[in-house]
Amino acid sequence: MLVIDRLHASVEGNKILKGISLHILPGEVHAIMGPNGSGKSTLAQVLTGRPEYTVTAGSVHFQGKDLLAMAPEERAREGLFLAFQYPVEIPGVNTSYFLHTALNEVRRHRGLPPMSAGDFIKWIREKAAGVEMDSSFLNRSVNEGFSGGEKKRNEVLQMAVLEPRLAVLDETDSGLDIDALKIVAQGVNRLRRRENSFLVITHYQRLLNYIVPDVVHVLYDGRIVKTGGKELALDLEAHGYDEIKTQQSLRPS
Amino acid sequence: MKPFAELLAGWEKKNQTRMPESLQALKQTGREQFFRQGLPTRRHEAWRFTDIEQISEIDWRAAAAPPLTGAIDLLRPLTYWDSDAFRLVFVNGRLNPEWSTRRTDIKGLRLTTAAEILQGNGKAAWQQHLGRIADSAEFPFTSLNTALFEQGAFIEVESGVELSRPIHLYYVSVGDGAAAVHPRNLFVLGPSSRTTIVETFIGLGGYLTNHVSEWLLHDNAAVDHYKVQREALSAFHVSRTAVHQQANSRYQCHVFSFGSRLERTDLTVTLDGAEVETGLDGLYLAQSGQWIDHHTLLHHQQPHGNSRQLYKGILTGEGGAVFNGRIKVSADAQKTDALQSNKNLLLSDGATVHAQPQLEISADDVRCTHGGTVGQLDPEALFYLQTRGLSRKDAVGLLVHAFAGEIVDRIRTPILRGQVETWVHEFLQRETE
Repeated sequence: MLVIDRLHASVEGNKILKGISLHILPGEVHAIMGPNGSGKSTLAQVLTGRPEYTVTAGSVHFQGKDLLAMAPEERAREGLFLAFQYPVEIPGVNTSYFLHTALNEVRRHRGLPPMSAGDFIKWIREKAAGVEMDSSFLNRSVNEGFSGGEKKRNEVLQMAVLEPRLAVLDETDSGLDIDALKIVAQGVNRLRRRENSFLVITHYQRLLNYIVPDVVHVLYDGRIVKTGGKELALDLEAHGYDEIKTQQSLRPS
Repeated sequence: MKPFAELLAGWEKKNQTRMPESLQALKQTGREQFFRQGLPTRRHEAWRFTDIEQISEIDWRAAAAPPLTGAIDLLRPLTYWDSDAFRLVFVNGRLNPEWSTRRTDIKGLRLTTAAEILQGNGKAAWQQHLGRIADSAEFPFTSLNTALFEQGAFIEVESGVELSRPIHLYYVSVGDGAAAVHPRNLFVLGPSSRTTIVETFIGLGGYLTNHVSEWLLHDNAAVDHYKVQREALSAFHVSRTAVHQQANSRYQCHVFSFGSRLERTDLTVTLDGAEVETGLDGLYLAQSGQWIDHHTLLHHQQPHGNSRQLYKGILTGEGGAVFNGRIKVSADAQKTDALQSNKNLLLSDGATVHAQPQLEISADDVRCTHGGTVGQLDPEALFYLQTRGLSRKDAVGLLVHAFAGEIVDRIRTPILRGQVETWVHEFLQRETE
């Protein structure tokens, strides 16, 4: 599904990612944990193609194709989705209209006929109910005036509509209370299939109680310093990141 | 060579015979005033950013009757016939009966064309108002229009009448590069009347439109006024709208600028009565080779007036625009509530906009606010849309439509709203090709 090989990236001349390698198979859920500033969000942004981030070395292949050679919209059409940590408010752009346009772009890319407006409305109402979002949100401007929790649920709704092959969740749990967290996790779990993969980026173990990962990686200073099963997340929760920081600072450079 | 001198001299000889004396006198005044004033130059403060040298260099002639056969087909995409509307179509300054609605009696509406008045046949109460609402002291093009107008609609809506059908006035021009038309309208809206009036300007080739419309709203009158400028891209459009509002009246204007190489529009509203409501919406689009200049003046003269102005501009390529919005509040106009906003979206590095709000407040108990922005599309929003699969072009389109939507969504005539959306779309297509 996703093969990241010795990836280096920088923003405004600062090296953030310093050689990340990662291999996600179809159906797997990987979690990336790490302290603030370790490069978690940078990895998410580089994968989606944010122009401010420069890849200086390494490669990323998505379903066998060179991901880094694609424009952000091509990545999306190929089946990559990023749930933003800070979803953008877009005044004047109707949520439903925008999602219908996006869905039909993705369908066209996959060789499917466009979905009619009538079918779409029915379909998106079901999806909205799945994340306990009132359908009145669909007629509002994208994220405008939404609360933090509503914005995150809107991200999961978009994911449900676009049906990506690989979804990257960038700190989707931040700022959510436990009820909202459960709704978001249910939305994700509903999409779990043998052919779909997830990369869950989080600072805390809490979310991983509800979205149980197959593999957990610890990112520190732009590198993956530890990889393990779901018990690694519990271990980090109990001991914090200090142990890892200490080990890393003792590492010969 | 004095601009328009030949045209003015020739016109005088042609039209003296049956014209009522009072109108002859008015036109004589216009002519004299125009010769005194001459065309404005950039040395005039009000024309500082807009250069009309190209207009003064052309030896303008009265527009001839065009060969319509071919033109009709070319113009058809620009027309949005509202079958419900009472429609008057002027082609190169002449009323075209084939395209116009038949002059059946509509209860409460009195219509006279300017041509009928020039022939001494007019019945409307034009003598009291014509030339009194649009003062020409500071407006040479208004003087010129007064001297030269041959066509237009003089419309009176009687007291208490609510017109269910909108009135559509089309000005169609087909020009050879030196054709000039000077449409003149007068709208007298009786007490407690309700009206919707749409003025549309379309055309082909090179020409000059020098338009003046005068509006009188009696007590409690309400009007929705749409002015849609979709002239040919090689045409000049100079326009003056002067509005006089009496107590409790409501004037809502929606101004659209799509076409012309150069537009200058002066919109002047005098709030001369208590509790008057005025709304000015504007949307202007300019690409390379287009310069759009909107000057507005809202003059609050009486207490408890309420005005809302929102003008938005979208500029691409080397397109340019001027927004000059003046709000004057006289000493008597206590409790005035005036809100002005001007927002400009620049889609290229080469686009220019001059935005100048001006508040002149002589009353102490008022609320007047103005704000203006000049900016680009939000890169965060663009990226967000792209990560959902939209191409950059579609993402730009969605955001620009959203920007324009604030104005477009307030069009209450569906057929016009659809047409305006189409023109915004076409503008973007041209831009991104």
